[in-house]
Amino acid sequence: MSDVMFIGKKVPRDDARDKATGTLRYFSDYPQSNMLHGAVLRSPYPHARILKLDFSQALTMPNVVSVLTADDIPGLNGFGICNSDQPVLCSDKVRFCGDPVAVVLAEDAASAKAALGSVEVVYDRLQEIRTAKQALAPNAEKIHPNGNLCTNFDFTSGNVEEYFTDEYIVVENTYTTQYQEHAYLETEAGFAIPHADGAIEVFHPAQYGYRDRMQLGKILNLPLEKIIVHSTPLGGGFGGKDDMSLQPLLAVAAMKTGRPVRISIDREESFLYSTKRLPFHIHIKTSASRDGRLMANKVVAVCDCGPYTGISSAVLNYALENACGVYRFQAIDIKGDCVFTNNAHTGAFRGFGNNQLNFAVESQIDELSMRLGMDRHDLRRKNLIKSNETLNYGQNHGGCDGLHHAMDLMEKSKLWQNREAFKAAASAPHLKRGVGIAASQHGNGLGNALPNSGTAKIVLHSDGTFEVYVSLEEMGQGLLTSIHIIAAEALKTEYEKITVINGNTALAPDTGSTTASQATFVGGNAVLAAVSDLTNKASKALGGRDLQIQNEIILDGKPSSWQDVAFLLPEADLVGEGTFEVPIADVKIQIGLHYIHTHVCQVVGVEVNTQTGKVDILETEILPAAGTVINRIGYEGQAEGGVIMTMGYTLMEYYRLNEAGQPLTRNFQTYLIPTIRDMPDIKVTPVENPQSDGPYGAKGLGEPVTIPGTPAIVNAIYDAVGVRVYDLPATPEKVLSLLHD
Amino acid sequence: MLKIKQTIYPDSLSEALALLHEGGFRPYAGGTDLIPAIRDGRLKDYSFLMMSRFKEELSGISLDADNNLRIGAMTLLRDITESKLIHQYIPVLAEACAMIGSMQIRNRATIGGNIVNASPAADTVPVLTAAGALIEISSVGSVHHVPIGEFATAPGKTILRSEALVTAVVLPIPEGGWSGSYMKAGIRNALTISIASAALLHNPEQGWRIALGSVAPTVVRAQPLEKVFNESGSISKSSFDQILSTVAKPIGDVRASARYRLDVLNNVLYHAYEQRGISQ
Repeated sequence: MSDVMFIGKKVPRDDARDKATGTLRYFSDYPQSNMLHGAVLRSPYPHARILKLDFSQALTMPNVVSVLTADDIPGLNGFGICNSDQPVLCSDKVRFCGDPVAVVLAEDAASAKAALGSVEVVYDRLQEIRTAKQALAPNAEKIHPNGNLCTNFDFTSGNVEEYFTDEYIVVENTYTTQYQEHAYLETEAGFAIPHADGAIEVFHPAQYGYRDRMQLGKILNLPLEKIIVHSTPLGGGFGGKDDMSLQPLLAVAAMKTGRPVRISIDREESFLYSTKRLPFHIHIKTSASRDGRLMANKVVAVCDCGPYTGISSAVLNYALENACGVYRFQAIDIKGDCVFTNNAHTGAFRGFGNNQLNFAVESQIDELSMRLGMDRHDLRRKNLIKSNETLNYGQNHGGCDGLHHAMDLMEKSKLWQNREAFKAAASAPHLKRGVGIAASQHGNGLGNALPNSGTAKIVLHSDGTFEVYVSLEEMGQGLLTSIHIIAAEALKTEYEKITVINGNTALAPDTGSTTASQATFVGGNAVLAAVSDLTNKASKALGGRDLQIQNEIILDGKPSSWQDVAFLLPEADLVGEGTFEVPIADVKIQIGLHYIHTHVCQVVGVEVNTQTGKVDILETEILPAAGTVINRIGYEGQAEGGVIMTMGYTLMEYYRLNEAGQPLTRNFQTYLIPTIRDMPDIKVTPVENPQSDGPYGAKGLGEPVTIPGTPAIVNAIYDAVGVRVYDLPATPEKVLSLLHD
Repeated sequence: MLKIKQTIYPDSLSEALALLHEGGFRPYAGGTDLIPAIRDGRLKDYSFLMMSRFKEELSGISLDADNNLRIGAMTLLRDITESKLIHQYIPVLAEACAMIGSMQIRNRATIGGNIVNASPAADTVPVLTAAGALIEISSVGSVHHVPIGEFATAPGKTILRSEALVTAVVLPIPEGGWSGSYMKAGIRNALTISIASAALLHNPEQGWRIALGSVAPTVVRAQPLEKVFNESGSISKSSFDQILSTVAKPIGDVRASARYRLDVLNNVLYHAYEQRGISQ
């Protein structure tokens, strides 16, 4: 693109200095005066009825002011992104270890915590549902009145059985994946302030403050304008701050007591209560003709929803939307169940079900290529989806030229081209090296089942400076800076003349959720629409004079500036607003299909220590086709972070529950994420085929960069030592036991 | 908030020993093992005797006239990894220290703390055990030495009495020094508790010394394996495995199963056994 001032440059983050010097305030950093402090009493059992709850003793404890229970909830005792089946505070039963039952409110945090033991709760234990099999058994204890199936999925096209005959090469396997903990640095913490006019102001990190406000309205029985939500900054989210956590407790407590209320939870409580990535059990049968054309794909996937729906039904649907990866099949049969259990609560996690299914699909492709005697890259290339063809559900899509381009570049990459030399360079006979590849697609936005739009607002002040208002959240992904760059480019004004304001429902319009890798796409486009509106309004306010933005401001055909324009305006502030609607696929089946996709390829070089089973990733190249790069530093940071997060998921992050349903991995002492010493050389190669309806051709990056890593690593391990990992994580113990078999 | 009763800061070793003699205090050196224990609520009723003000008295590495290497108990792990004397006489100790925690931890953690914490996974202990180290224990009016193999009795438990401090580690260095290697199996490359570990030391006169970590309640000398290493000829892997099992009796826990711990040691040690002629 010609003459860009900011797009694609290396721009330091707007909040980098504040974060590095510690001056940025997170919601746990605000000083507390007259605040009450809350401690949450949580269920010790996975499944039980509450027979009795008596907090009279707790009220006599030092500095205790009040105890909150389900009886204190003014409106609906329920919330949840897809279904409101999660109680704010449990009244009749508890459904997982960690389910909140009461909140003790005291003058200080230590007194609140000390009084927890004085709240008497009598439980009647119920059958604990720990597996999908138990959940779906005929006489299983019902976790919810409608039973233990949260949602299911069933779609067929063509007849897969035709392609599972001896004429074809058929690969059939079962893949399983584990829980993953988001491990954001900032544990959940926030406060709520009640106002004299009955309004409640909530300060708590969240990925969609507007949705929190809507849900709180129902819980508090208040109109929306009486609720203000501050949701930014977040010290990391990754999908784990999409569901509400402490917000309802804070709001109800503030309302009941008439005082500000603060709750901050430590790492162990965050591990216990917060959502995890859904574990999946995937049975997949894939066939190809003997000349290497993919024919049929049959998938049966079961995932663990935990105790409440949350967003898990959408995770199953989205996982299965991606059950065929980036390949076109002749026939597909895709089924899935999302099942309630009394295990950990699960929810959105960067990749949203696609990580799990892509692991299965890309492993299948490698196994097929081996059976066919075909080069792993060639088999993929031969069967890629195309821009001018529909995808497997029969839907149209926004193009995949970037995918083809990325595959070409991956084939030419040094690591792939020189893989034999890489493998031969191992420094000892017991160290075996291998190279693996994978490709992926990832939809941007919510899919066509849901309304999906965003609004931005721009204010021009009389001194020629701007404020850009978007409700999108800054959770460390650099979104604020991307919006800032896009606004600066669109307005062709100095970067410093713009301030971006976000994460506040009283100030910013609803720009959609900061999820689904859509914030840059939706927010950026909304900003462009707002700039266009502002320019039109400015022109009208000047009595219809000709105002254009090209490489600079042009007024009546002569170079000008926003400062000059603002000076001429009759009113002090001029406001522009714009809304962008995400384009949707033309086919609607039971799930929401996506139209815009980001495609990512990755090649990984590993070294396996055959004495210990330990897998080290020595180098990797990731090639995202995410349209135009908006901020070069931010883009590389996202890609590197995604590579590492996926490396952790694949090799070492092993969140487990014990027999009693409590976390076995309680904190970072036993839940291990990669350190800087585990980080390989990472080459980020942006593949910048522009997305025609993206802002300056950009589209989403945040989740897509986590998808291909798992199968690329697993495929590399196979290349190194001839064993295939079907069950994640590929810990040293897992790999060594496969080597011994 | 960390709940502890009290902290005191004596200015000298003798003042510290006098206070410990009175009773009621637990010594706190670098604190890198104590902070997680305090946070987990395991040490909430303790008072701590902070050792920072007299750390110079207990830091430093020197070689005496009898070729004993003396390492002060409060010597930082970082300093051991960088010490010329250590690299000259027993470089494998520097190697093992470099695998502990992270750079930040090694900038605070002390060798004394690693020994007194008595985790069977402590990474300094297998090398010191193989080298026949002595632990110097001081209390009011007394200094004596205990072979390191007798120091720890169970996970987290030692013979150290509450009125005493470990003040140094003393290593007799044989002619030619100790060569060797330290193997640590873990799940990631830093900040990882060892799942199984082995120190292999060699000296032309003394022959082979082997000590194993994380496969018994304390670190253990593997004399039966040393015998095999010191003999010429070669035994089969399965025979080797059998001998190893008489010394290594690991348990399974959240980090790894017992089977895995044994398998890793089998693989690594047998490989070292086959290479022993070459790697001396």
